[in-house]
Amino acid sequence: MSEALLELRKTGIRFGGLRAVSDLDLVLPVGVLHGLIGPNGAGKTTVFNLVTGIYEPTEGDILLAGRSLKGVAPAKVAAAGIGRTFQNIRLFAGLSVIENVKVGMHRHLESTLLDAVLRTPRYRRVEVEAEEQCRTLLETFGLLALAEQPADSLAYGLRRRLEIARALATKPRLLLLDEPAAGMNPSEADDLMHLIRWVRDTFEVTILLIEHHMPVVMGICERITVLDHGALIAEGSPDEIRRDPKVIEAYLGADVHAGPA
Amino acid sequence: MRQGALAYGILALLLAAVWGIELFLVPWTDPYLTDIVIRVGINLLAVMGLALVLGFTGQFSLGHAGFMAVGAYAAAASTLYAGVPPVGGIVVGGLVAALAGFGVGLPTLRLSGDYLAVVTLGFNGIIIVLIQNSPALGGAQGLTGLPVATTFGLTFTCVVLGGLFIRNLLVSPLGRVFEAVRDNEIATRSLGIDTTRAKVLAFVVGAFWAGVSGALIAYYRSSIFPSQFQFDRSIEQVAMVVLGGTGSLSGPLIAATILSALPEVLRPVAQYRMVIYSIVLIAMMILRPTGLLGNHELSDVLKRLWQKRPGARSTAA
Repeated sequence: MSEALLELRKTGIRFGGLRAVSDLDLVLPVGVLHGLIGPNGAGKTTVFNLVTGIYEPTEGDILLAGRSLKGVAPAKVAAAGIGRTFQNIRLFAGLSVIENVKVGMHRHLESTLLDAVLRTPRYRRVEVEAEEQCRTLLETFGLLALAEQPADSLAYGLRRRLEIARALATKPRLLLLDEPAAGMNPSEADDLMHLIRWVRDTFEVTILLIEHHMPVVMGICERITVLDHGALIAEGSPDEIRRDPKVIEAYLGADVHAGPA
Repeated sequence: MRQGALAYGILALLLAAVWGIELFLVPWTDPYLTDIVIRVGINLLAVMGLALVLGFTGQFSLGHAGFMAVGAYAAAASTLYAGVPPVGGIVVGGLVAALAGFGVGLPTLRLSGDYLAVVTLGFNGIIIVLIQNSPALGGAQGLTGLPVATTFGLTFTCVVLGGLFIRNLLVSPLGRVFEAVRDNEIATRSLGIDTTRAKVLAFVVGAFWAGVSGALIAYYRSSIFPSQFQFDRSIEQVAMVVLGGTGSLSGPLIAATILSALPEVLRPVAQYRMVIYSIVLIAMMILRPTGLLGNHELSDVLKRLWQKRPGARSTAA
């Protein structure tokens, strides 16, 4: 068997009579940058919510490195090595930029209640290490100068970057990015996509990406899956997808510039 | 190293100040004034715990006085039935209240917002009814014959210990997680953090200091009654946290000081007392809708004032 990091087997979910996702097969080999596209309402974010444990699949199974994630709580899924960002950005508004990233790193910090209250040497050592690692991470995302600013004071595009940095701080094996370039102009989106590719190469992380900016998705993804009405309609390399008549009919041809308002 | 030494230095300094006042100032002070200050101190302990739960972790608990009742009666019972001295009784009160916090928190903190508020309100009511119907705890007549031990020194030793405990916790990684839970629970879970555990932890710590606060009441006037811990007290504490500023520790403490002392200070104009109290509450809501200090600390505000003072060199560009 090849090295599949994430595997969806006939996965589906039903909300009452609505089949939001059905019979979905998806295999992500280690290290791939995989695109997930489709019209609005096709079930892309639902796939993310299934993988991260927010929804439990009613059909089929989801495997991370061969182990089933079915019925595993979101915090445990994240701890197993899946990081994510959200379509509607979910930062910790009351915390500073660097504190947001430190919360991302929290799982890797050894510091107990007593350490914190008594200010033990271990507590201070852990804090210094976390500070250094977070600063390095912020620097690579061009956010270091804003480290002490409140997270909700950031400009829109920078918030998206911060959310990616925070997800990376959990040191994930698999990173799920939900429309990271939403609301950006083409040149900003292009910059971000190159950053994402660079992240994949530098952090050796596997990435599943939902995105509507077609030129950049086609430019950086190695494989692309197309969903429509909760079902897979095509999978292949960007070139294959671009020429697929079903994809053109359902998505590309109909609305090339599709993007959320 | 330096930071740690400084924290313990502050602790030693504050405790020395407390006992200096106790030994050299309190004996010559009007007992009525001392009484007000001790009552303020007892409220500070309860409110700092609630500031952690409500202000920083965002969990709307309406039953904080219930944990005070648990602490007060646990301390009183340990002294009356097992001969535990008051200082030991205070520790017992805190620990039993923390245990109650764990018992209530574990099942209920999966709820959120309004549901949690209703359940904690119910807890407060149940505790009072249990005490009222328990002959061993004196029923509605209360427990009497307790040793008197709550002095200014003892009260404010607890306030200093509690204040530094919670402050150190808030600036630690766990403190960041509490605020993360408040700001966005789904995102916190997506980072691999068990948010229920974090909420229960905040709840247990808050309940512990409420228990200590209740125990101090038990040893103050040698008797305690269930009516002292009814839910109007819980609501008053919520008002103190909200008016002080959610996401601030010093703000609620200032609000607690003002609101606890106000009814006493206004005694000379007795008939207008509650009117003025209400006007202060309404004025604060209108003038400072995010609370006295918002989500800042007193030290931040003072620092800013210091930088803005006339003749100060501008630090900003």
